[in-house]
Amino acid sequence: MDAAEERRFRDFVSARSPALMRLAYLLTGGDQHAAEDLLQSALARTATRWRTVEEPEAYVRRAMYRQQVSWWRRRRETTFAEPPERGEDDATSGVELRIVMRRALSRLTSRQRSVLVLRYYEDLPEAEVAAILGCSVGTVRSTTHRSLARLRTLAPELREPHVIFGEAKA
Amino acid sequence: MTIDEIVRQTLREWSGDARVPADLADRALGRRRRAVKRAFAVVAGATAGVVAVFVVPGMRERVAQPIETLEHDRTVTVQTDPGSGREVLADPDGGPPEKLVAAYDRAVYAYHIRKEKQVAEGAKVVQWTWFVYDTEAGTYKKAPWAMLDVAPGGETVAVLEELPARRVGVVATRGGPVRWIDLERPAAWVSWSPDGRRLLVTNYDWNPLLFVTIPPEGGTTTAQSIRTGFTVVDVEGGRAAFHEVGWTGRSLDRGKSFRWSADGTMVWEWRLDYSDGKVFYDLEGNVLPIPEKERNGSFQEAGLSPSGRWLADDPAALAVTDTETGRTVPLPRAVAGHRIMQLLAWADDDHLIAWACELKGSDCAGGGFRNRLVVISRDGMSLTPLTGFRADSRKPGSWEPLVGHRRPS
Repeated sequence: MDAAEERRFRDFVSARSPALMRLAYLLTGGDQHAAEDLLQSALARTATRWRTVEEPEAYVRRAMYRQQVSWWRRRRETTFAEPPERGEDDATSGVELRIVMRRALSRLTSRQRSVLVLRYYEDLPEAEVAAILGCSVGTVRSTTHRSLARLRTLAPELREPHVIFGEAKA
Repeated sequence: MTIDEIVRQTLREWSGDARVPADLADRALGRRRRAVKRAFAVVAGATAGVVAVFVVPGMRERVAQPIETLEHDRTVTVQTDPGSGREVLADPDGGPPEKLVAAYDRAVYAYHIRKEKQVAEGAKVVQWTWFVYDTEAGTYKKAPWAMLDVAPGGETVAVLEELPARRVGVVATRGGPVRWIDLERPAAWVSWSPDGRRLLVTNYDWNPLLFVTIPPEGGTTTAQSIRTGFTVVDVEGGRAAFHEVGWTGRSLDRGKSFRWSADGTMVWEWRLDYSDGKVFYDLEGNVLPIPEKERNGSFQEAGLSPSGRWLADDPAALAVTDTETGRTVPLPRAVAGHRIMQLLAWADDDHLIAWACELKGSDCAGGGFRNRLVVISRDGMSLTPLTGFRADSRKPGSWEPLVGHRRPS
């Protein structure tokens, strides 16, 4: 990488790191340090191919998806069985629900959370998620479904979400 | 607000908590330099690694043993009459097929090839080019329609000329005059009822196959894709009745169109944000309780067998569940040199049409997206190839079959 290429790389990182960091943060379940590691690793991989990468942002995003996939394949994942802590007041506010949701999302397995991030944050079609994860569209559907079911278990407040959010917004 | 909307909103808000380190570029470049040094170290130690593979054979990955079957090598019939018989008709070298592909009670009467076309900056439209089996020509011939479905028996096609379309047409598979039926609302999907007398049309205000990339976050999403409901068309009487069942989600695929229940008395749609994964409606668009047998949690396209006894299942790996006993039998990981990847349709109560890849050791040769249509026995122990391989089913230019019924129910 010569000086001009390095400058372009630094400009790219400077301009796009907020959006890329948001994605890394979600993929790692809200772990700031793990997110920094994930993005740094993907950027390092991008830097090695900087001359040939045509769409750097798409490349970095894909590198993060793939890295997350390879991480969850290499390690045995742990799920948390205990229900989330409940406040004493049953009239859950919007703020409390958001906290409960974040806690529930962070307790999903890496694979479950990544599928939800790819489907609902990145808005990727099922076929593209299947291609990234190296599985069938049917598996993407079943993982999405089971991840949402798991969220309902971890956050019982979600069972009647329309009521809760209606009150929160009023 | 549904759970998927809550998840979407939570993810967007939560992502805002991320803090951006000031020295990311430095760290990435620094890490890269260290990685180059590490690479040299790995090359230097490579010899020791090779020795270790032989010294510790137990660490090597176990290779799956393919199960050879008689059916794999059997000669398959080639015939051109799609309406009769239950023979297995294959074109095992054709990808896409040129000769009729059929097995037991199902046939591939049509297929489409997917292409993407850039229509504006950041916007692309997916176009399907259809090929329909022509009984007189004895091969699949290109059709001019944007969307279609072939009626049970393979002799009649329902067509949409554009997406979305204001009318639905009915035409013989061998061509001829089109009979048009006007629709109250525009539509982008059509499906024949099991008895071949009615059409289920899914209505959309916009082309659901138009995708745009939205900066600055990136990602792909459908543009203004709004499903409005469904229309049931009585083909003989030419009557069409629209029923409003809205859906305004963004990412859209086949799953957001309506399907007939097996007996043709209800329609349903995939809804991953609902606990059962599916929602059933009567033909007026009223939500119905999900039938007990459909409360099964399977996401395989094949679903329940024609009798309703067997379920194409996917609890962890692909399996078949006996709904009478509740017993689930996983399919073997390897059969006749193939790995079964996806269960597409029941050919009858004893056989399934599936996508399978070719095994090389314990992996798919050419990756998991190089696959072909096969028919397998219910226990997965025998397999007959139906078509040749798709080079990469993810890529534009790949083909997708339309698996129809060989006769009306």
